[in-house]
Amino acid sequence: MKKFFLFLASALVIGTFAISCGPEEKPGDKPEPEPTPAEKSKAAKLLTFSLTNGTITVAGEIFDADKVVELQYNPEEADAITDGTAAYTISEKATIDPDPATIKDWSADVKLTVTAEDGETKNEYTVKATPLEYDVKISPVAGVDGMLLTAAGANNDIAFYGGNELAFSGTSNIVTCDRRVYDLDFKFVGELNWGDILPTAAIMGLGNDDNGVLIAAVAYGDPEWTVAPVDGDGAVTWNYTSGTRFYAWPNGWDQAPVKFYENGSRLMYMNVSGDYNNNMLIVAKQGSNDGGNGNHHLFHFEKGVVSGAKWAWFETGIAEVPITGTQNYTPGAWRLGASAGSTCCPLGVDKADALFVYGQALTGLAQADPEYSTDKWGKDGNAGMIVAARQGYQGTDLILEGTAETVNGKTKPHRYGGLYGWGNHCMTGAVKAFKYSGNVYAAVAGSNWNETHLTVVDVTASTAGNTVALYPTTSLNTGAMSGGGLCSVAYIYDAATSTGHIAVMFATPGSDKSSTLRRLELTREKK
Amino acid sequence: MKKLALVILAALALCSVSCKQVEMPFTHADSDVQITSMLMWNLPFKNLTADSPFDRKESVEATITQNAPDEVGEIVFAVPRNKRTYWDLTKVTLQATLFYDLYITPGLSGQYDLTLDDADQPRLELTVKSSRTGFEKKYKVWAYIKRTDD
Repeated sequence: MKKFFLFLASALVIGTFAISCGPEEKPGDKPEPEPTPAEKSKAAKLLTFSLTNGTITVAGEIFDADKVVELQYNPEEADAITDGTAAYTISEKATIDPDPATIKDWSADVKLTVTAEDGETKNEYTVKATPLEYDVKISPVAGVDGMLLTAAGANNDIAFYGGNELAFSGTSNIVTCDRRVYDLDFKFVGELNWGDILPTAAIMGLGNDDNGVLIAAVAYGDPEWTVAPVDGDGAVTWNYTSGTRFYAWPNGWDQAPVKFYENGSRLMYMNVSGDYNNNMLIVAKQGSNDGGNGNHHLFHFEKGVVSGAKWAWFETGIAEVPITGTQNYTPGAWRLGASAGSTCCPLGVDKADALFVYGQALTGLAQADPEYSTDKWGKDGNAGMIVAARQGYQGTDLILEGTAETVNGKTKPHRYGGLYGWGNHCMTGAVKAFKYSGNVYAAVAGSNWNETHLTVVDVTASTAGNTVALYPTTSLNTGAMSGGGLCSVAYIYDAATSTGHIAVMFATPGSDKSSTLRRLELTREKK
Repeated sequence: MKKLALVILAALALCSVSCKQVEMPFTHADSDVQITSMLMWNLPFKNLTADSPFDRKESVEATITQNAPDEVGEIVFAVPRNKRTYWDLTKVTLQATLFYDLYITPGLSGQYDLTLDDADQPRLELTVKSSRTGFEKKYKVWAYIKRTDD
């Protein structure tokens, strides 16, 4: 028995070893386990989004909880919304549909779906463009009375001939036709860099492009344009055969000017729109009594080079010669010379669709004219100045109306203001069209001899028979003025502060030699 | 022996007379195990310092959806749009109001990322627990910028 149990115990031990010690495994005997595939990303987010048109970029605000992208834009940024190129980022390895690059007009809601790498996780975003609305305010800010201009002379002198006698250089400086430079508070800061221009050459018109590049029409010729000194009776000598050179100060008023155009005619009183360094439109008045309907030339410049093919003649259909017939005034007396009786300001660079706001002195109406009235305007039937806006140089006129006289402290419409309430006559620098916060405005400085007025018309809001004024006709001064209420208006927009600056210059009452300057600001507040 | 038995009996009798009934401590009902209010701050220490990432301190009160005691609640902070620039929702500090015998995990010191993750799920889950009953209530916590101003 003892042996039996010994045998059994041995068998058990041997059997245990047999079971536990199996054949040794060699590498490769078992197949390698399949690697676990990496989990695919579930990230499906739109991270950034913006629209760009040229130099305008509108950044989107992403509200991930609502899956909404809001594009709030200012009126001047509208082009980025209606014709914008999208830039965006999404989660890594995600895709987006539709491709934003295929969409240009974002003014209506656009839905974009971002799909994660796993193909299943999706987020749909709604891109919404929302225009910001503003209340626009205008307020007088600074002014100087009796700013002396160094050009010698008396009535009808260059000093206050009236015709673009001031313009902006940059957004911080104002330049007057006597080549002086001021800051926005009309503190003198220096003399305009005259470069190689002959010292006796005279500025006949000043303007600035949309970026504040100063442009001047300088009378030139052989002999040079001269102005006789004051000889007591105010006699002035003009050299009417002078040609004109256009100069620009692209690097600022204190840097040398660049001549970019020369014309054998006496071009003056010009208004500028656009970008000197790209496309620019200049409307310049030919300074002679050439008759016709306005004598205004449209010159298109591309990078400073005139395009002959794009020249045009701006016609108003309003004759600058007296209407024949029975009249109660001396023919020509109220025209101030045709060269000074009209102005045209473009807003845009393409003559076919730019907005043009023009002013022109209407001659006296014939007595047979139904609008004739000595009672109404009390000046021998003089119909005063007309101001109108048209889209495209051959467009239909929208006539704008002002109120033109303050009598006993009350501004009355159309009394001594002519047919349209703008005053007796039109000055060649008296109308400046500009855009601010998406609306088109026209600053109109007019005079009825006793007073000079300034009106800022909201052209966008105005319709036939209903002129809307942001700044209703306001008297800038009263008192008898020698030399007439010869006015000039200039405008610049400062994008850094969203502020528009209007500068106005007009003859100081009672002075033959000095001018009064005013500046007004346009600002806006979100509604 | 008999005396001993009598002594023991007397002692027992005295105990039954002198012992007052023990007051049981207050125990929260399960529905009381909750976060009653919560504040989110934009600054690390709730006060401005020279190193503060923003120049003013801002706080937002949460909207709390309790749901049933045994369900996960939701704590959501909605930052007004016009205050957006004062917030980095990946680094906020939190402050909670609880009953006295409740505690939160994780503790609320430090900064938290309350944005939603890639799967649009809250990253932070808080647990509030009664130290007496052991009952737990969980909350998902997240924050977002809303499309309206104050």
